[in-house]
Amino acid sequence: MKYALLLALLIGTVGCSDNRSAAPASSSSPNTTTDCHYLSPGNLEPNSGEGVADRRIWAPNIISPFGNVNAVAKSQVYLPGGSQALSSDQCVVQNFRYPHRDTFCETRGANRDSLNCPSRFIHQGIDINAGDRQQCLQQVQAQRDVNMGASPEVANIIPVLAVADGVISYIGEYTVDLRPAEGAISRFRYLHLNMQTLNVVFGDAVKQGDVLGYYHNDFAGTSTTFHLHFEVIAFVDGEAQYVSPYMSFIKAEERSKGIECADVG
Amino acid sequence: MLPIRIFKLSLGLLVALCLSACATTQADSPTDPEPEDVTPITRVIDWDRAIQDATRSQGRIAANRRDDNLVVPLLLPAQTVSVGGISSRMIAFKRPGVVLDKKGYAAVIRGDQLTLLIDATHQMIVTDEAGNNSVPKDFDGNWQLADSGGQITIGRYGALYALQFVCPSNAGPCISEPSAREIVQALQVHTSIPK
Repeated sequence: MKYALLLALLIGTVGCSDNRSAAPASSSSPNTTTDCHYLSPGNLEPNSGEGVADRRIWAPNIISPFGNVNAVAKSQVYLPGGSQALSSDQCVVQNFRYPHRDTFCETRGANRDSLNCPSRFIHQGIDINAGDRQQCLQQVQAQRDVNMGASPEVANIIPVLAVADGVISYIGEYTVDLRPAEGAISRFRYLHLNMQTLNVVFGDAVKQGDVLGYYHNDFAGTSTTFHLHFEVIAFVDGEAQYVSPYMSFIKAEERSKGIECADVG
Repeated sequence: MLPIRIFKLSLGLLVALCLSACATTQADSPTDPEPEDVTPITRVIDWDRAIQDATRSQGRIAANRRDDNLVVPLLLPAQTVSVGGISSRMIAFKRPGVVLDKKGYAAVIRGDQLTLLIDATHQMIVTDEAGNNSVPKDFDGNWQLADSGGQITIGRYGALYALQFVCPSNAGPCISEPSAREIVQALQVHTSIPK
């Protein structure tokens, strides 16, 4: 009976385990190539607002803005390091681990419109953490060095890529807009790149995968956590609308990394 | 012999239990519908009317100098626009930066108090399942709030124009809906990028 129990436990462990516990794809990635999973669109962090289950892929052919570098959609406000979190350590490993989580309708103080969020005080985009704890710590240190007079280039650790062919249609204080050459997307909007070291200027034609700049925390002179805020504005039924980039990003991750991501509810 | 039989029975029972547990776990996993792709449609542009309007505002010679790379008529604000009704103020716009592409154009027009971004296109997504395009050629859309300003989409000559009003981040809201609509009314149609 003792052996039977042991054997059963063994079978249970092997037979019922999923791929998420597989060995990491590379020593630096907190995720494996086989464990990609995401929470359903509209499933926000608890007490962070009311989401909407928009499964539409508004931008069907984009790649991940981080190519094959680890990237996970996460809340940057309600997780460690964020203004609504208990911990101030933005580099905790969980911030770089699956599952992806939708933040499109996450609550914000500013009144903003979108195609279908239940509230008007929303995020209008998704936040994406890239890299891993080590790179995050490196980035934090580099930023301290820049503040002490080092060249802004020392903070350039993770490149941010053009998700589609197109032109750079606007560069703002902490914003880079890419107007794709094809389709009904008005603009892909990237926020918080290292604005001092951008690779592009207004009017540049870019190819999918070109480096636009670097992952950073620029927020018009102040700083936020290191993350990319990514927006999609599309012409829908005659009006330019902020639409959820979440499922487009998940599909882009699958495409860029050659993986499949499972919806875990 | 009895312990071995019990062992085999227990083993069989436990394997069956485990397999059934695994199957239950998988059956309980979400069965949400597959993500859905969206496909854009192309709208027809009324160039005749655009050229007529351009002739009225720019003169026949300018209107006939139509840029072949222009897929939709070029709408740009006048250099100065008066907004605000009785307590009016002038908004001065600098020379626009314009990039043309296969579906229209993008323009950045920096003003002294705000920046106007124009995205023009002849493509849009239709959410009607039958693919019906019931959007009129000409319309003024809703005022939508964005990060530090707002946007309005308008239809002209069949093309769609998203006008985004961007305020400096430290200035708070710099434009009201009525003022934005006054700027929309002051847009002028061009058939080539003004020199």
